[in-house]
Amino acid sequence: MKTGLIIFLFLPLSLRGQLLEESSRVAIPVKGTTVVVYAMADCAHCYYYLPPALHVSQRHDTHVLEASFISWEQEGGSPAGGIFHVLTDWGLPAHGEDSVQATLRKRYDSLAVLSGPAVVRAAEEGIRIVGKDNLSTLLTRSVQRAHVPPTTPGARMALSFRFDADGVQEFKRCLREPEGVTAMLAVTYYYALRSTRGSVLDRPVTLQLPFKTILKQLTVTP
Amino acid sequence: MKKIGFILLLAGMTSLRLVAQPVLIEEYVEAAGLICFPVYGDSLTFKYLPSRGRLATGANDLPEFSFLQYAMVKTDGPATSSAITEASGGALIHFLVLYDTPEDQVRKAENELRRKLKRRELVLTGPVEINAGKFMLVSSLLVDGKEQKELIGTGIAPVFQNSKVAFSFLVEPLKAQLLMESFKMNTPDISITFDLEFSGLTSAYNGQLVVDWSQVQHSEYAHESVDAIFYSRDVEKTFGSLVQNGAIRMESYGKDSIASDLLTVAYDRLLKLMFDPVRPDSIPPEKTRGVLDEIFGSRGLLGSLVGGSDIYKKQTIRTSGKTVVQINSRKLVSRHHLLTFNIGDLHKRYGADARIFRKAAIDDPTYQQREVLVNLDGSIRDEFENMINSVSVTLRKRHQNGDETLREMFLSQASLKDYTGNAKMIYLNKSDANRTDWLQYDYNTQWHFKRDGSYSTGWVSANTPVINLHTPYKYRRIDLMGDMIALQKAGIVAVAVDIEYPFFGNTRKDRMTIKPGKPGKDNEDYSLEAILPLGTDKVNYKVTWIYKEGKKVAVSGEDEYGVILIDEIPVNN
Repeated sequence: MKTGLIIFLFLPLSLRGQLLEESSRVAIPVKGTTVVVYAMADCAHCYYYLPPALHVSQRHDTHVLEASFISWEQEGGSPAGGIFHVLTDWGLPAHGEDSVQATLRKRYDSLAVLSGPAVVRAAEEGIRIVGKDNLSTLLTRSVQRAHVPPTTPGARMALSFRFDADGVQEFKRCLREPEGVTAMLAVTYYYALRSTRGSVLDRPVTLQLPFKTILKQLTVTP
Repeated sequence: MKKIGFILLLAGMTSLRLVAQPVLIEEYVEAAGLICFPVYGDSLTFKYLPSRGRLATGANDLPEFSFLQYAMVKTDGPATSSAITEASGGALIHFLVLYDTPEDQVRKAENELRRKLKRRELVLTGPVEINAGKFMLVSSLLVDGKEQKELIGTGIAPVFQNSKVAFSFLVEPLKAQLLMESFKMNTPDISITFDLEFSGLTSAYNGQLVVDWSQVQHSEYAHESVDAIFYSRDVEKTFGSLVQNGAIRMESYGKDSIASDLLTVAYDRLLKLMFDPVRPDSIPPEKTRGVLDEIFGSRGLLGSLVGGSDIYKKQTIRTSGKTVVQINSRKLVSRHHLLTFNIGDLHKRYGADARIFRKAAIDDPTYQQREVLVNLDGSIRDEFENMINSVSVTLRKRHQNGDETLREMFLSQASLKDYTGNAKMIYLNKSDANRTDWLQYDYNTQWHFKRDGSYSTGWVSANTPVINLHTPYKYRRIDLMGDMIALQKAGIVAVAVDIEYPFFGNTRKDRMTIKPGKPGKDNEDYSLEAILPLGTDKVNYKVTWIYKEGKKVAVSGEDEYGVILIDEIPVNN
């Protein structure tokens, strides 16, 4: 019989489910992204990875970026409106799972098995647009999307923005000068972690995708 | 013990689907892009979550999608100076979507699972049972406004993969054009999200909670008054200090016992052992706390663990001995799986395929109608004050199938007030295959005058889209000219001029008497006014000269120029 003393320093908010072991944390760089993995409590060699960076989705078949922008004009050429549609997801890069597992086994745990993504729950605020520039305000007021972000890798979330005449001008300006854009798409997830002292923590991980990056990719999208 | 707990858990379930082999929701493995869960009680059987949403496909692998742009003749637009105007129309978009998992992905995932878990006999049997599903349409073009988002943008999704959901939208011309342009892009403005709810069992937890009451006696908690109020934060602190001084111990067994659910249950049991919930409105005002305490005491921090009230009183507690609470259970919990997809570059692949994208001009004669506008001449309004009582226009269309359509428009002084300039009569196409003949019609205008009867134009053939309505008569001024001094010298004291002319079946008459000896206004002109039916120019007249001694001489004639000379006295009188 194993006996453990649980210290109620931090009681979980609404944690249910998979518990990861803080002491097992490993950060592994994979193709420009750092992937953080933890072993599951009570399963020392079962590793799960936290959601890595958010990115613009690519079609599975053609690998074309799933983002588009269309604008229209009034008679005479003045701007009338526009629609920006983008799909995003998170997950490991292609063959990333094999790479992470190989690194894990080579450097940290020869019996390691990368079982998959950690169980996460999305924060109640869902998908957010953060930033203090004009584009942040514009995007926040014109977005249409499903509120709850996906909690599994590769699952997309779609956002559609409809701009009026003023909005489309601002968006086009940002397309021309993306470097000045500070707006970001942000999603916060929580995962359950058991600390080295035995307390159970509800730890956040926030994924951010700068719109600057999306806009740069959008300009080269065929 | 664990099994008994699970059986009890299942006994509470009402859904048969839930009873059927639940998965272990926290022990999933990702393989070949599939999230795979082991089935409870069978570590060699796995189930997977559906991996993709997509447009449904039908025969020949064609997507079950259609975009029909249509144009119709616009009938109610304002008159413009341009001969080319915008037609009416729009587009109809219809598509079916589903979620599924490609069979080859399932097979790959199965092989990968076997490799990862080193179990060659492992099988991936099928999708996880979906308890409930919703779909959401993400499109600024198709879903516009809050109300529409709720009505069209969301709905119930099927719980079985490969079942289809249908969408249909009728959009106005501008949106139709925008959609068409959007379809030409790789990522059009139409994405669909399936929100699939499924359930499974959490990891097992197995342990016991031991409360040593003699140790509890040494804590601050034991010395609190029985009336003391504990908010959730106080409860949390109390448990923390009791754990630290060894009054509360948690013991867990087994490989995967210590999980957060265990803590949740332990907390709940402790709460029931040591505290009684209190209704907030039963607390005396002097014992209530500030806003922060209220907030922290609310369900926000601990509510999900504790449930029920957030304010407590201390229970009467034991002073010695131990209480041991066994905690063994799994929980059945729900999770959401989101599948989002974009309908993709359909136009690139099927833009030339009329089964998918089609443009149509809806000009089937069956659906056409002829509109004949009745245009009123500007002078008519005044004539309703003077001459006209009412006017009616009757249109008669003899169709090529033998049918006859009659339409009528009636105008009176009263109805003229509501006249907006858009009076029209409409007839349909009734097997009028010869389009030129279809344009041909007859009309009859009936005038009713205030004093002088009525006038009907009779049936007039026409094919123009406008019937111009103007008065069937004209005003003619007839000047009476002569040398008044000469008439005076000739002993004429008065000249009487009578005119008469036909007026739509009646004879209109008028008379003027001129007295040459009587001083008139300076440069006074004498004249009569005739109201002549159109096509009539001549007026019969009779001039009678009356001498001082009473003699009368008269001359009759016909005038067509509007001048009657009154000083040409016949010489042989």
